[in-house]
Amino acid sequence: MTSRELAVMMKKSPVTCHKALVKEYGRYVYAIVYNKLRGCGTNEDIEECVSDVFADIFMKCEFDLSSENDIKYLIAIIAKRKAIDNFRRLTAKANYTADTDEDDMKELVSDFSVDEHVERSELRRVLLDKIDELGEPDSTILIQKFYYSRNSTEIAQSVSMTAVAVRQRCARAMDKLRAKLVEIGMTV
Amino acid sequence: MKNKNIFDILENAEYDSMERLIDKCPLISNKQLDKIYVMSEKKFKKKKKELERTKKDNNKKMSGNYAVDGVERSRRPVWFTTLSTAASIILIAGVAIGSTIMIRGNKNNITPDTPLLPAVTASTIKATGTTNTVSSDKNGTNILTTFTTASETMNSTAITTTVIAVEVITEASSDNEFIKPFVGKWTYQISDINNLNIESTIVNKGIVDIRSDATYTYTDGSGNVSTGKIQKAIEKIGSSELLKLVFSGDSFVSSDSYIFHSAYYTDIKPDELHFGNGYASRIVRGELTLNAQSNMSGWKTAYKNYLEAIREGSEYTSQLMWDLCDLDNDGTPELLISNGEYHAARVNYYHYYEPDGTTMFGCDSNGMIVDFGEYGEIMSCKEEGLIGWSNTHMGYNYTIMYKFTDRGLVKLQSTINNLGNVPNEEAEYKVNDESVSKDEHNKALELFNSKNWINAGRRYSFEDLSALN
Repeated sequence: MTSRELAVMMKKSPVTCHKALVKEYGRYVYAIVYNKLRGCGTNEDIEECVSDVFADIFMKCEFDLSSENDIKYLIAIIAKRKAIDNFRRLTAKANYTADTDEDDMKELVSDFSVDEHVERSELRRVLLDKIDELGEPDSTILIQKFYYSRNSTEIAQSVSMTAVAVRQRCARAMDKLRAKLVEIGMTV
Repeated sequence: MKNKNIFDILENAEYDSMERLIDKCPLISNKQLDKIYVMSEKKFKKKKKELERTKKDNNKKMSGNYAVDGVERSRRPVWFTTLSTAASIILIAGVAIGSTIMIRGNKNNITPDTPLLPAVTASTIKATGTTNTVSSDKNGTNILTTFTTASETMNSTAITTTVIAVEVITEASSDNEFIKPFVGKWTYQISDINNLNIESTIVNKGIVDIRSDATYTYTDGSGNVSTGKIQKAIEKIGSSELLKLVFSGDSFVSSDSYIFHSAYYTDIKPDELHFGNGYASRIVRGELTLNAQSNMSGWKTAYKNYLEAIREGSEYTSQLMWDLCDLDNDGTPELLISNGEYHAARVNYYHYYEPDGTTMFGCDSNGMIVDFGEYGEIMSCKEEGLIGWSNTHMGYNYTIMYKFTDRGLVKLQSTINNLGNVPNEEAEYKVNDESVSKDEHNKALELFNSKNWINAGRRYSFEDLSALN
């Protein structure tokens, strides 16, 4: 969907346009927000953030629809930034201010480690590759169960299987994944 | 069970990894989408309104000669001056008369012979007071709590200043309007696993009768009656306000382990008032049949929840099986979880911890978590509270026997011989890891064999929890 297409929809009916946006990109935004807030927020926090994202998108639709580009990337950027804002808010501890002089400042170093970041990024890629190697529906079951924290019944609905079958496949897939990770030297 | 989730590494993914995760994102139900849409629309309208207001403000311009442009000219009504003058005179007169009366009152009371009396004795005053409390929650958000005391009879004698006394009396009024929607009988419910969404865990503990004078009576399942008062409070979290009823007194709210006194009201569930975080206890409108949960159903629920948690966990494999066996012969069976059918597969045992209604690891007398058996099974002699197993492996024959005591499990005896490896005359015999004669060993072995053992550990699969219904 491009901005121009959205503009046409907005002219006809803003409400219909908003609903269409939520329906079309709801899952997309949810996945991006979930990725950032998974470790610190509740489901309510995630839904709240998703609604913030769409409120911003609606504002964008209302006042600026000049671009011909696909709005998917715009939505991704808004979602990511909003999720980061929410992450900071949720993880913020009590404000702490301390006086320091220039000598002390030299000792204050960033806790961001480039090595660690690169290593983590590589591990993420390898893990996703190994999960994909399991094929469908095992990869979807594993991701939905352990990353999106869905229970077997919910997964069963999305992969058209019974909950019992999902559990069995999940257990077997997890064993296979463990074996694959051990092969390449990843400890689980 | 190890619960480390390797999938946590997928958090904060970059664009390419994110795309792969989006593909596998579960479908979001229409109900959830509608909810998101409604929330978004509300926020959008608010933002739009704010933006328009800001634009309007920006339209007011200042010219180069410092003349204000675009400001509306207003005229005061003629009567306003007269009225404000009269109000000022009344106010000044009131302050003067009030001060005089207070000074005279103090002169009369304070004499060398009379003791100093408190400025306020509020024993008969029915007052409505308002207290604001600012607190911080775990996320660092400031929470403003406003307490409104309704029809509070102050029995204590307060020594305070006259100014405060004037304030209290001025605000004194009886306002029990807030309680009207809640008047009637309610049932107090708790969930033994702090999750009222699972109906099987709900216990109806007692009946709460809320009256129109903002008092209540609580009658528990045993017929014990207690009373208390109810106050209205508003809790502000961000821009939203939550109405809550604060139950005073040492009654149902503090008789359980849930010590929350505030029951929250939401428009979505007008017939339910939830205590604390909303999942542990609540009162629901109406008088339901009380069902004090028995020990019998308690352990079933606890075990079932525990098994379901394992089944949904990342460590679950189809080799796991479970069983029930009253190992210590106390009337409540223990939960056995068997890790598999291979030689080294052990059995963990768990018991029901009644005070918490939870499933606890079985421990030995040193407090260490223990596992037993071989090939995923153990032998139980429940009449004597014994656990044991025996086997022949790589030429060794051995038996082990434990007994349940008040201190936990204590090892009673173990026997071993290597008759499968060497000729009879060269065989070694041990009892409790000490070398003994053949006769002593056989005597210990006979003792083991004389018990009424039954095998346990692998009776049910994790797909079949019907034995706990």
